[in-house]
Amino acid sequence: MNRYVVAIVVILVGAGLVTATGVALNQLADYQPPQHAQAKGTASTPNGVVPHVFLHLDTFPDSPDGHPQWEKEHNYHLDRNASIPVTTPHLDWVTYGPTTNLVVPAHSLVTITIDNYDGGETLLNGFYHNVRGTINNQMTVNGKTESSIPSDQVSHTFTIHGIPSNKQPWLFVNVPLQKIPDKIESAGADFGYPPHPNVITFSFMVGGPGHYVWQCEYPCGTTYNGFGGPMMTHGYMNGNFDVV
Amino acid sequence: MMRRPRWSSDIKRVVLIWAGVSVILIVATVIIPPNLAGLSRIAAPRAGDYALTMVVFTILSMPVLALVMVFALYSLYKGRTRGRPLRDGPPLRAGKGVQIAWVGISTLLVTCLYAWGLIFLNRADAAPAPGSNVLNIDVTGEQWNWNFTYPQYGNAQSDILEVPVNRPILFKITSIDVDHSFSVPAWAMKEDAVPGDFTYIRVTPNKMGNYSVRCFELCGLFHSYMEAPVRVVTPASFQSWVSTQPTGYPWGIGGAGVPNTYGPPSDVSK
Repeated sequence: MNRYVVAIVVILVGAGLVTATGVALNQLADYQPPQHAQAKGTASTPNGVVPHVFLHLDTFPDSPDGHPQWEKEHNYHLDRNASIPVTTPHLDWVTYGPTTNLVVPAHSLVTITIDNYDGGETLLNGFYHNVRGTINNQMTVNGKTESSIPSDQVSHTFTIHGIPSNKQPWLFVNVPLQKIPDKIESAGADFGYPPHPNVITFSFMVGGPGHYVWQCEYPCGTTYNGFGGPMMTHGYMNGNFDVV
Repeated sequence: MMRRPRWSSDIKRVVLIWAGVSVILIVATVIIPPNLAGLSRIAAPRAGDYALTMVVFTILSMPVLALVMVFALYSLYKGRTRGRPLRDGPPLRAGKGVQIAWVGISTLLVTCLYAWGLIFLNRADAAPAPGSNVLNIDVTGEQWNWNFTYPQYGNAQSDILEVPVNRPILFKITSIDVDHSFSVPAWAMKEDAVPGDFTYIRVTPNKMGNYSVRCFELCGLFHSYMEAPVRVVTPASFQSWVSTQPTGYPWGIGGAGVPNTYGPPSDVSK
């Protein structure tokens, strides 16, 4: 009889451990609070009048948490959940901010503005120097309309995609970010960052609800041709894009 | 002295059970729903060949499986005893005929499988007939996206793999970061995408529809999202679509090219 009790206890303890591990991993996966798009009016589109929503992101050569004076001057807060020990920020890693988890409403026009404070080198994959998936496959860089950036002028990309499914529409958006010139970047005149970021703005339509991911396709990380470190870790150069 | 078992009646019984179980397993193999066997979406001749190979090999292996299982289970049942046995069983000495039979049948089976593989699996990767209008597509894998370049169409590029039905395709595949694996399950097609090298694979889609590309090499954080839509459409629809795609570099890698260690198939120029 005791053998059966022990067996049941072992099974229950095992199940509990697996459950606890899953819950912990799930929390780690979404450790940054999401940024919900702000609705500002409506937009007339071929699909009718839809909500027009806005998101704002920044791209830094290293963590703003390593530039406290800059954060103070710009009243900037990088959203990281410091209560989870393993998510201690790597201050020297290139990163998007203030969060990498984005939420937008379904059937809306989404406009994203990215302030890019980083320099760059040359894309390894020329595919990503074209703007794709935005309205007219275009973006604006510091107010000027562009449909591509020369491969050697790209700092990062903002690339959204999902998986082909009959449960959610296919969504693919790629926007290359114009780099800050090397001299200006290295001068770091504004508490270590360039005084004026390149401001990239683009808009695209989203359909019904779905879960997507986004990442940078410029190899700006460590190891593996630059695809390691911040490129492979939640909260730096990739994140979630949820349409709800 | 331990009594020698009556082999003839046991063998008769085992053979009868084996034959019955084999028939049941073979029938189950034939009538099992295709989607349970992963053969439900066959959209290219090579996929048909592979599916047929799976079915034939499974049918051939069922009697072997049944023989081993029936013999083992029958022996367990027949040789059962209460408590710990005090003596070993009688020694088994197979006759020459039995040894010749099992070696001969095994050799015959393996030879048949080998011949089948030579014919059908080789046919899957065979070059199309000379003069075929082969569509060349360059495939680049990058964490965690696929992109496709159509060199015969001004290097049109897309995140979607769109192809015309019934036209032979030659994929030229590479990766720019880590190993990926380029696969369209509905075409029974899978080839490694290796950084610094090109790999090649052929297919002729023969069924219009929507499918997906998947990465089959665990490649990092968003590996599970490394998919892309596949659309098999009419030739006219493909022409219309490809002419509207943005063009890019001659090859997906910034135009720089990569070393070609393995070389292309013999009928393809570098």
